[in-house]
Amino acid sequence: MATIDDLLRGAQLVRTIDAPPRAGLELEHLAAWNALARRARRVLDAVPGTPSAADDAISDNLKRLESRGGRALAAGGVEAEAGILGVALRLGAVADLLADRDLNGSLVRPSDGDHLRARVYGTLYRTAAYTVPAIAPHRAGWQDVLELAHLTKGYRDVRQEAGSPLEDLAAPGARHPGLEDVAFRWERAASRAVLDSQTRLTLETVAADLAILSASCTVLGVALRDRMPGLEPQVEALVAAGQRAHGMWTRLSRWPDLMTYPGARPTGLSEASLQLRGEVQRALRPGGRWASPEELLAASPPSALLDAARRLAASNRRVGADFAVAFDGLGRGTRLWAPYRSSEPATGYVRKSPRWVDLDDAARSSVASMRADAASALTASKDLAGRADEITRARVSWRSRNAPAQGLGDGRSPATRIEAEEALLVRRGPGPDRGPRPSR
Amino acid sequence: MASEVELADEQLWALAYGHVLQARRQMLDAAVDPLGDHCFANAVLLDAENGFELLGITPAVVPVQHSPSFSVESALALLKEVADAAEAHRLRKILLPFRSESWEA
Repeated sequence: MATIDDLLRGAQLVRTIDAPPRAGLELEHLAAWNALARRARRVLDAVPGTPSAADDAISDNLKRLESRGGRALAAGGVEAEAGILGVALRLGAVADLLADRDLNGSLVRPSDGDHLRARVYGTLYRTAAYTVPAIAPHRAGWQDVLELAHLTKGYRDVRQEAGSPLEDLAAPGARHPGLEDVAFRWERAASRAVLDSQTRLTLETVAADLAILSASCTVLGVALRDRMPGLEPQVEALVAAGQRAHGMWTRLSRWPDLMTYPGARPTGLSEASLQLRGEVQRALRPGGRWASPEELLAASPPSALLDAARRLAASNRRVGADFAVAFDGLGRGTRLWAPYRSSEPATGYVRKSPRWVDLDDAARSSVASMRADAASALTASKDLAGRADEITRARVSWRSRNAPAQGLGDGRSPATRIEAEEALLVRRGPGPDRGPRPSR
Repeated sequence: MASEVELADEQLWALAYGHVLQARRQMLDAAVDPLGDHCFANAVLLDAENGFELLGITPAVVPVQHSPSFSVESALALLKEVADAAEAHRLRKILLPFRSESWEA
């Protein structure tokens, strides 16, 4: 399952600085920039937040590149450069993922949008640096590419690793669904069910599944103990939050005998629930017991376990929010619950259906208590997701401060390489005082 | 057993449904389960309840005090017995998972 994080990691073109420039390929490169510029703008438009003047300058530059690329394509017989097309393809997928989600309704911090935008700018910088040697100086498009490199130069050191929940958005894979993929599909089925097909079994099933997801996050958190140096308190908080959420959702998975809301659950929910449980068992519970930390760590590195915990917690939070909305609507107005073991209403009068009756005082008290439980469970789920996000952010920050510079496989440190690219750009392009500069 | 199932029909299903409800209640009320070891048994019992709801069966009352030996295991054993007996019955498809060893209590 490719996430936005995966897609951006795979969109980093690396130019071999020692290779001789391959001038004369400007049409091929510009033709590919037509697709890349258009898709990059789609991504940037979809990122939450208000663009700054520097963002607008980059967007204007991309428009010019798109236009120049269009003219290159119109010349005919031009085959767009494959490496840049690969970047364009990935950015297009990122744009689709962002557009597919209702970001306005999700809990996105302004800094989350900033981090994603910075990663896209870093990607554009590298791609521009890849193109510069291919275009002969002062040919059409050369100035635009150089200007884009300068506009995005401030983001060249941005680490291409997830730093916000936005970057966890993922497309389900078609061939080999994994746990997070299945959770993604379950999320849709569960949200639809709790909002559109409310019965006791629907709501109990979703609550039971949310309890399983919470327990899964706890198990992943336990495996991360002692594996996140400097972040031990945060990991302990994640484990505790998972246990709290599990307890709250389990409580909601069994209604009091007094109350019911008759009817089966939707088939889609049944299938998604079975699939989710099967995948949790396969990934985290082989042999009918939760995997030990050693077993989990033998199969996946701590970073992968943290990613999984964060994604599962995010699914938990989103469905938990829909669940709370659905629960809040129950027991109000004409949506009334019937007492168990009664074909006739115990009190009150029938409305719409023999199964919908007025609630007596005891029933009203039960409804109020369950509604309060649903609100508490959602609070627990939000806390769980927040803890997972917190660890991810702290980990990224901690690694940035403490990780030694790592080579890229060619014996050079990133700084040296970036400096070399910068030197080339400065040598071939406008001076650092030319063109707008990023404000961040 | 097959003929008994066909004859008993509604009452038997109502009794099985009542047992499943009681099993789940008992398990969740009694369990101290911080790591979620009972999550999956809970979900399996919900699957069974859904099967009964699909058939429009109303659960029979199974008071705890009348079932001193009642447990999740006994409810699931009953479900398996009913599922095995329901081979030619309309419940066969719904109860099929309970004949399998693949699910986990």
